[in-house]
Amino acid sequence: MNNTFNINRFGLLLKRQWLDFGKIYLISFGVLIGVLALFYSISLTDNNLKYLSSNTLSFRFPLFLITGFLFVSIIANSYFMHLGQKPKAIINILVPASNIEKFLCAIFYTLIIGIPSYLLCFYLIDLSFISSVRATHTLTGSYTDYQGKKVVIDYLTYFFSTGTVKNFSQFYYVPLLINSVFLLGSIFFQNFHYIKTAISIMVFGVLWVTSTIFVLQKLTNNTVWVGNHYWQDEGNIFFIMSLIGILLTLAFWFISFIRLKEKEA
Amino acid sequence: MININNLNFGYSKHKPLFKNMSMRLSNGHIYGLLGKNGAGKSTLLKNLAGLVYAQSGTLDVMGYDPAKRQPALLEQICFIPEEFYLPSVKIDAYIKANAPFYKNFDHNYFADLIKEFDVPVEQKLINMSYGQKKKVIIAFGLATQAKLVIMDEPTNGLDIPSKAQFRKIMASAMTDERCIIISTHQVRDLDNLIDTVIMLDENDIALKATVEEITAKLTFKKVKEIDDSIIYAEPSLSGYNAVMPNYQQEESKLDMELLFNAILAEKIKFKPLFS
Amino acid sequence: MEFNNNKAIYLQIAEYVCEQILLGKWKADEKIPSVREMAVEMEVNPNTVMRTYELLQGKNIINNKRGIGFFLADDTIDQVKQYRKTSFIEDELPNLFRNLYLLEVDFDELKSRYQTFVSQNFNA
Repeated sequence: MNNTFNINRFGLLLKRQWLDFGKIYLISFGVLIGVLALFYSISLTDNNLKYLSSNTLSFRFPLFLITGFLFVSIIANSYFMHLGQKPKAIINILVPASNIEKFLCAIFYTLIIGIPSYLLCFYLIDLSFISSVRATHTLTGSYTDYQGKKVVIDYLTYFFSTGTVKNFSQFYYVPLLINSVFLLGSIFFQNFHYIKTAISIMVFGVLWVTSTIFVLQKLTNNTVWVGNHYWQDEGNIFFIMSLIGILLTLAFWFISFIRLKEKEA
Repeated sequence: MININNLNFGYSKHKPLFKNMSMRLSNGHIYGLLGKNGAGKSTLLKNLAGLVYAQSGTLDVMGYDPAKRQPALLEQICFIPEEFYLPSVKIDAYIKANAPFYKNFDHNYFADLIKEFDVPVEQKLINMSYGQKKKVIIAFGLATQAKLVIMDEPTNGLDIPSKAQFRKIMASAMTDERCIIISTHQVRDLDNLIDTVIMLDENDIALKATVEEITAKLTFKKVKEIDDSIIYAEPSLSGYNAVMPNYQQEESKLDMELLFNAILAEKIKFKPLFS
Repeated sequence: MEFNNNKAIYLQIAEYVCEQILLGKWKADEKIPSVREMAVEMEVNPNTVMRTYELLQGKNIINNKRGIGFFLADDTIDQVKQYRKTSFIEDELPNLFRNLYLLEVDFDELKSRYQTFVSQNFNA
């Protein structure tokens, strides 16, 4: 018998975990649909559409970021929550599947299902509201480009086709980072997982930012830049940030796995 | 089946629960694990199932280290904890989700046990009483055909008829391939099922002996007066219930409660008898 | 079954088996319940029943036919009586003697009482 990974057993585990986790997931998903639909409908009332402007749809960006953060973090944070309660932990630890299978099952539900289902949900709700607006309204602007050609801009585009979304490709790893941090929080803390994880992030964030600023100030105080221009290119800095983010994500997943292995009940 | 070697365990560094504990358990027995509150009965059971980790020492369960939590071992363990959780589904759904992990799961046997225990099949597990839930997990655990059966206070919460059913079920569940370990305070519920007594006290095993060994060395009887030969006695209605060395090869019935109290009170006198 | 606290369980089960035989519920040459069936009925550890059966086998009350199970011997009733007689003489008679001695019961009195008892209870 393979004690590390067996695809059949993994399949069984996915089915079994759905019994426990499915309910939390479906409730979260239902709430998500409700919240998104609510925000779209209060932002796109007939009254608002009467004074349609390029700003009318700008509510979508904060909405996307905030609900996205909440959904991804809540899903990740609920997955291992049961391990904080001994009776639930015992029955889960004793399920005859390997530690790696149990961890991958968490990744499957919180990441592979969690994030795409959020994007799909947002996409569909956006699609239905925006297309109904587009059926009755149009809003375009135009400008002349440097070659002297006239360019027409459609302000009523779907969310995922807006230029803003496309320009933020260097932040695509952020959902993974959120997932890894909250997954770790879910297994690290015994109770009040979400609050504790959120507070930890804030504390670490503040410490990290202040210490970076402090160190950089110390280093660069009364100095003149004579090196190459690498650090003056925005792209390079974003690249380094993404790299750190991805490494942190992998590290948090790894620590979560170790914590899962070492969880006692 | 199980080999414990120099096990050291404590929930904190300063308060050790087990010090250099060693013990061998083999199949074909029902072990009764006794001990005061806090002596570490549940903790020892959890060590065997890999739910907690020893500070040092080795643990070998059917050739595996339980701390590694390998599926091959986990599917051979039936662990009935004192407090447990069952999801909010019906028995059918629970079985469908959990039984496939156990290659040898016997669905007919499970159905028989549920019937014998008189558990309502249509009810959601979460709405069942503690005793009913316990019957479900006992039935499930035994139907997995696991070789190592660990039960922490299994008769807690069972009503009087269920206790008799439980004894019958355990009597039939005991096979030569199985090792059954039951921890209990309710000695009277189970004393005829247990063939080997393991008693924990003061961070170690105070006694591990079969009922046969114990009654060969000790005799348990009612006496009118206490004399020097008596190791330990408790007053009863018509004199005393006493434990004394079995000089006359008497075949007395082991009184587990009396033995338990006797060992707690007179540890030094028992040491030379069982070593 | 209700066990009392005076005697080892395996002996009490042996007595139960003997009683079944003397009462004619189990007959000579017949198969008796397996160790497991007996353990379930008595709610005891199968090892205890095994010990009972080994004892009864030693007393020639039952036979183990390998692979089939335990059977009563053909002269099982005589063997049971023999066994019960021995255990009566060893276990109960000393107590009786002790009381006869302490209470100064005369042998002639004992004899006449015994005969009355037999004629009243067994019409012999």
